[in-house]
Parts: sequence; C-alpha cells; structure tokens
Amino acid sequence: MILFGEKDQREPDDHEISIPEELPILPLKNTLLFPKMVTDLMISEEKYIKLIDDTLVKDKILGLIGLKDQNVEKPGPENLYSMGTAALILKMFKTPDGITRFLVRGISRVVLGEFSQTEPYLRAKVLVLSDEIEKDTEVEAMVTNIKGLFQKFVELAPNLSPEAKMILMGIVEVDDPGFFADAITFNLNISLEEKQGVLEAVEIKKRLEKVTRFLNRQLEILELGNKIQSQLKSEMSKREKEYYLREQLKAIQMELGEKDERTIEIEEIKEKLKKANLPEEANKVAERELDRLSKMPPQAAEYSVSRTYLDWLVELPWSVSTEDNLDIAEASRVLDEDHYGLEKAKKRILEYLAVKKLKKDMKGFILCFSGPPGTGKTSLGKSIARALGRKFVRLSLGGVRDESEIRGHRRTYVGALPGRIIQGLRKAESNNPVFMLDEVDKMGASFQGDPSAALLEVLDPEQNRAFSDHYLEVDFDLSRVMFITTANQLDPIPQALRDRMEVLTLSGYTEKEKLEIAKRFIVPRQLEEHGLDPSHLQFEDDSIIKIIRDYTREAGLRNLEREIATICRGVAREVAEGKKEPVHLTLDTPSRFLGPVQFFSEVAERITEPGIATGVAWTPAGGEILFVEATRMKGKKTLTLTGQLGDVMQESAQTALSYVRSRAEELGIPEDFFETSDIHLHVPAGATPKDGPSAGVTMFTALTSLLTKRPVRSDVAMTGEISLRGLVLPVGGIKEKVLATNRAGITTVILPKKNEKDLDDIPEEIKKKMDFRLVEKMDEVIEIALIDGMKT
Amino acid sequence: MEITFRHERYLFSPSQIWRPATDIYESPDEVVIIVELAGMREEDINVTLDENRLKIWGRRVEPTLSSPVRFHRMEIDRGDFERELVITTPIKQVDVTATYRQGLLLIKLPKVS
Repeated sequence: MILFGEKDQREPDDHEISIPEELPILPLKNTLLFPKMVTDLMISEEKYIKLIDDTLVKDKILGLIGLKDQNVEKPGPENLYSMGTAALILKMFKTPDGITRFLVRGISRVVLGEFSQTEPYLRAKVLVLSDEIEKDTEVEAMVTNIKGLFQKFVELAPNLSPEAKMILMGIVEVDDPGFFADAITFNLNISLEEKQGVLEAVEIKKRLEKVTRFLNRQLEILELGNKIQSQLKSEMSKREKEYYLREQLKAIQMELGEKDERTIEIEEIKEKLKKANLPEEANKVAERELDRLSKMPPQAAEYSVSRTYLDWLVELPWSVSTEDNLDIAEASRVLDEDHYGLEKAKKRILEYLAVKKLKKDMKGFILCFSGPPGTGKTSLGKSIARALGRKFVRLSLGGVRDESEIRGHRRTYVGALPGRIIQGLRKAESNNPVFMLDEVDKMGASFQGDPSAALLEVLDPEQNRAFSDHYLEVDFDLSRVMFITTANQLDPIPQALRDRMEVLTLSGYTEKEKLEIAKRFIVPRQLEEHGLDPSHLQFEDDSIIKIIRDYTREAGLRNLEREIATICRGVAREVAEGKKEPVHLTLDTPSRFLGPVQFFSEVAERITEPGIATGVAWTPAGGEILFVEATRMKGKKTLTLTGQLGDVMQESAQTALSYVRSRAEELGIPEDFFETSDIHLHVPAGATPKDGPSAGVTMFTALTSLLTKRPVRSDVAMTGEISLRGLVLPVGGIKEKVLATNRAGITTVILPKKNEKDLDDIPEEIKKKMDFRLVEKMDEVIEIALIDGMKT
Repeated sequence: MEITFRHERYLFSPSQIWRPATDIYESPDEVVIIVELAGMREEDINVTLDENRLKIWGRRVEPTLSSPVRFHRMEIDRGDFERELVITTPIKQVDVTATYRQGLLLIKLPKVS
C-alpha cells in the first residue's frame, strides 16, 4: 500500500553510483580501504586539501591507492600500487589548525590506467572491477570455514569490548563472499602488503584462500599469547597464595606467642655462639655475619651460604680441648698393649709426655713415621692418641693435588667448604687431637696449586698458631694439635716439608718380632673376626714361622695376616661343616690350607758358578736380595748392561769394570782380556727398574768372579759403593738390607766400614745369627766373598 | 545507540543508502512516526505499508554546485535513503495517514480499539 509518493518499489540499480572514467588519486599512507568499508581519513597537505575541495563540488568520488613504500615524501605515480579503491566522500570537516578530516566509503576495486594529471594532484584513468558473484560449493565451504575461524578470533581477541565484539560478529552475517573476505581483512591486524594482496585478489576464491591463511595465523598468535598469559597468571596466583599463607602463618604464630622459623634459627645460632667461646677476632666476624643473616630474607640464596658459614664458625672447637693423660706408666702400658716393638717411636711419645708434665703450655710436635707398608704406622698413630687420651683424626693425602683441599675454598664459590684440616678438627670436636696425615709422600702438585706448600704452614709449630683457612677467613690455632705424618719414602717429600718433621723410621720387622706380633695380635684378631676361638684352632710357633718363611716375603705384616686369615677361613669352613676336634696347627699343617710353599730361599737355589754375586737393594717395601750376573764372550771391548738399570747404576758398573781392568794383574786376570771379549752385566728381575750406587761392590765381585773363574760364596751378600781407587763407600738403608738378607737365609753380610754405626739399629737376635764383615777396600771383599780367597 | 548507529552505518555497510533520523511515539489511540527529511521535494519521498512493514525511501538530491565553491564542512547525508520499520501493534491499516510538512514526514497509525 502506497502511503506517500508514487512509487511502489525502488528500481534495483537506482542507487548504484556510477564511477567516472577518470578519478583524482589520493595516495594512502599507512592504511588501505576496501570496497564497502568506511574509514576516517586525515590530510593536511595543501594539494590534497585542494583535491578534496574539488571532489566535493563534483561527484564526491576519488581513487584511494596504497603506497608501496610508506616513507616516500612526495609520492608520484611510480610509488603507487596499480590497484586501489574508488571511494565516495560521505562527510567532511576542516579543523581550525588546517587539517581536513573526512569519512569515505569504498565503492569498488579499480585498476589505475594512464595518468592524466600530476600537478597539483594526480588524476588517472581507472578501470572499475566488480566482484563476480560465483557461489559454488567450494566458495561456500571456504566461507563457512572462515566464519568459524573468525568467530573464534573475535572471542579470543583481547581488549575488545562486548559491543565491539558484537559488531564484528555482524560480519559473519554478510552474504556476499567477496565483501565478506574484504570485511574480515579490513579488520585484521596484518601488514599493509598483505592487505594489498587481498585487495588485488580479484578472484573470490583466491581472496578467500588468503583470508583463511591470515586468519589462521592470527588465531595461532592469539592462542599462543593467551596460553602464555594464562600460564603467567597461574604462576602468579600460586606465588601469591604461598605468600599469603606465609603471612597468615606468621600472624598466627605471633598471636600464639610463637616465633617464626627464622627467628628461632637465629636465636639458636646466637646461643651456640655464646657457648662456643670464640676468640675475640672470630667472635666479631661471627656477630657481624649473624647480623647480616638476620636482615636477609630466608629465600635469598645468600641466606644458606651465610647460615652454613655460621654453622662452621660455631661448631669448630675453638676452646674445647681434651685433657692429656700424663700418667707415663699408663701411656706406656697402652702403647705396649697395641704394638710390639717400635721402641723408638714409643720412647719419643713417652718423652713428650714427660716434658708436657713439666711444662704445661708446650707446643705440639710433628712426627713423621716412615717405613714400608704394613709396619703399623697408621695404627701406631691411633695408639698414640689412645695413650695420650686425645681424639684421633686421620686424613689421607694420597693423590691430593689441590691446595684448596688443605686450605679450603673462598666463600664466594658455590658449595665452598673449609679445607680438610678444619673439617678434621670439627669432626674431632677438640683443638688438640692427634692429627694423622697419611701418605704425605704421595701428594702431588697440579695447576690447582701445590698442597705440600699449604702443608708447610700447617706443619710449622711457629706459624700454625694462626692457621688461616680460605673459607673461614679467621685464624685458627693449630699449635696444640699433634701432627703425625706417614710416608713410605722420604725422597718425594719436598725438602722444606721434610725439614719441619721429626722423622722416625719404622723399618721392617725381624722374624722373631713377626712371630711375637702374630701371636699377640694377629692370631687373636683373626680368630675373633672369623668367629673362632682357641678351642677350634691353635697355632704352634713353628707353624707361624713356616708361614713367615715360606708364604710371605715382606717387611711388614699384611701378607702374614692375610695368610693367617686364609687358614682361619679354612678352619671356619671345617667347623661349620660339623668337624668337632680342634685343629692344632704344626709345622706341616699350613700347606693343607695355604697350598704349596710360595717362596724358596733363593740363595740356595743359585748354583755357585763364577760370575754371579749376591747384592742387597733397598726398596720402599723393605730390603730385597738381588743378583748380579756377569758373562763374557768373544768380542771387542763392549760392556752391555741390562736389567732396567738407572744412570747411577750404569756408571757404577763402568767404575767396577774400570777398576777390575786397572787391577787385572793383581787379581790374576790376563791384562788384555777386554781386547778380545765383550762383557755383559745383567741384574734380574729384568722388568723392575733399579738405580743407585750401592750395588757397586756386588758388580765388582761378579766381574772378578767371572774373570778369575772362581765362584762367589752363596751365603755371602754385600752392599756398598765403590770408588775408582777401590775404596768401599757407605750406603743407606742398612737395617732393611740386613733384615732382607736374614730373610733370604744369608749368614755373612759384607758392609762398608763407615756403616758400622747403623749396626746399632739391628735387633740383637739377628746380630747373634749373622756375621757382619766391615770392609774399607775392595780387596777385602774379594778375600771374603770368593771361594779360595784372593790369589796372590 | 550512537555507537551502534555509527558502526552499522560506517564500519561496513553493504549499501550506499543513508538512514534518516526517526521518532516513534505512542498514545492510547495511535502510533506516531516522525522522520526527519529536510530539504526534500515531496515527489522524492516514498512511503509504503505492506502488512506490518512500513518502508520509507527516496533520494535527497545533490545541490548543483561548481568551482570556485569550497566546502568547509559537509555533514548532510545526500543521495538515496531508506528506513524500514516493523509495526508490532495492531493498527487500522485503512486509516493510516502520511503528511510532509516543514521538513518532517509525519505518519499516524491509529490502533485497533
């Protein structure tokens, strides 16, 4: 029903705007316009204001073309994309400051043609492109997909008011797929190039494809952003919750009159600090640290560092010491109870006690027990601690290569700790323990510093009153500590360090001593360890001696103990299997448990043919018998030396040969023997490196024996350095060497005269059994060693 | 309303048609619709009622201007306009009247008593 006017229906294309063939062109900076979109634009340049003015009085239609490069100052035709949008100006107003604002609505895509004017503004011919409405199923599917994506996008988009979301959702209702793609692109936050790409995609399908891609990417970005956001949020709220609960806890504790954890902790330390009775300097440092601690939040990383440091400070025995047992008789009893023999070391300890009794504030002293393995160095240290009534700390220095092991790390390092000395004292809980530094000879230097240099400070009674650990940074008084070091060899210990110590040599034990030790200590201990008692197993002296002689060859007692343990195990098995009658170990029985005899008296085995002589060598494990073999063959003046001989030993062999050659006539050897023969000297075992001058006498004897064709007596062993003048010079390790010859069943030992003093160290029982021949000249050696003596 | 209006019209609008401002009020007897359509020739306004759909459309003609005229402000919508309203109250169709006076289009829709 027509109420007003004449028309019933509007003619379909009635309101379509026709775009003229030529349009003024406005370059668009930082934006783009799509057909049917409305946007707000602002210009201030004179020529473009003129463009708008001119357009408004005409048809209000202009071409909006994007710039390829947004930074161009005065865009010409070459800076413009070839495609843009024709638009109608809807509204316009000019602000007082000369800016023209206007609202435009895109009409349709246009392709730029020829430019007809460049000044004052561009004008160009345009070709209008209109969307073909192609609605096949593919397009429909794409549109549906994009709708879904877009809805999701709008939902996820942050900072959008509900109203704005509602309006954006309105796009979904749009029916025309081309317009739909344009509308979404126009509202997406993508680059201008990408938007231009959509503008130039005249074909609907292509346009939809592009939009799908952009929308997917935007969604991904949004989803990722949201994920991060929500993670942050949950983390925050967790921490907030924790903080809140903690605060509540604090409030509750306050209300109940309780203190929080940290206050309790700090008060605890304060209490301990009072009890620890620190020296003034240390106390100051501790109080300062405590003050720092109380101001720190417990969550701070520093807190635990500071806390640990304070723990160390308060737990060190600054003023805790044990009372020495000054009863000399009692100490002596304890020492004897634990060890047989070792008189020298025991004497030294008792003397120390005696002095201490007279002079209370006596300094500690530094002993070094040196000797072969298994001679009881470490256990003697323990025994000393027991005799004195002191605490015992043992620190093995074997393989220590780092100075900080001794002196600690600075507190700035993560996980820093004091050095082992301070650690040991904390463990001992007393500032005057017996501190044993084991294997001081096996310490090594490395790029991390030389631990032996750090030990110099520790082991100097004059300096160690103020021992400074890197971690503590407060001096600690070590002067009351009794340091005992042990070493197998003295040579590897640096001179300066060796000089600080009083060396007590524990050389090997004699057979009789071993027997005594076995009876008193080893057998009872092994019986106990194997759950046996004397009613099961009894050792006769003979049987122990047999084990010592035939199954072990050592300076110490470890192998003997092992062999006795083997027997105990064997007996334990028999007992466990139900055997009732006790085992009585006699001379013949060890082989039942230990198998065939392991060692033979090597000397007896050597046939006394010319060219072999018996020498004695000193090794870290005690003395050792060695043989020097010499042989002669046709040749010309060559001396061959084999058996891994060191430089000194080779020189000593040459000296021996020279002396033989120079004395050939007196010795009854053809003077030109060397002209027609080669001499070979060999010292078995060939794989063991040997060095030192002490085999000189032996080599000379072997050569003489070879050349005079008179064998050496097999019960004679010898040691000593020789000179070119035929003098026999003194050597070291006499006690070990003599014990070794005794073990090997030798009865006569030739020693340099100048070593006479060393015979004092040799146990009486051996002196009684053996014949010592002290010589000054080589001639005397020949006299004694060679069968038939010296032919003159 | 302003926001919705602006967005409806300006963010994206499939057609170029502008919508004139409209008042609707109701008394016990009738519904009154006033549409602001200034500066029109009567023949350029059309109103039809189809069942309960009231449609108002037409065109405000562009004034003929030429240089050296310069605009400083341009706010008046021109060209095709259209409004479509749905009347939910039962009305006496035959008694509906429309008049254009002093720039306002007045439509009176008497209610079915």
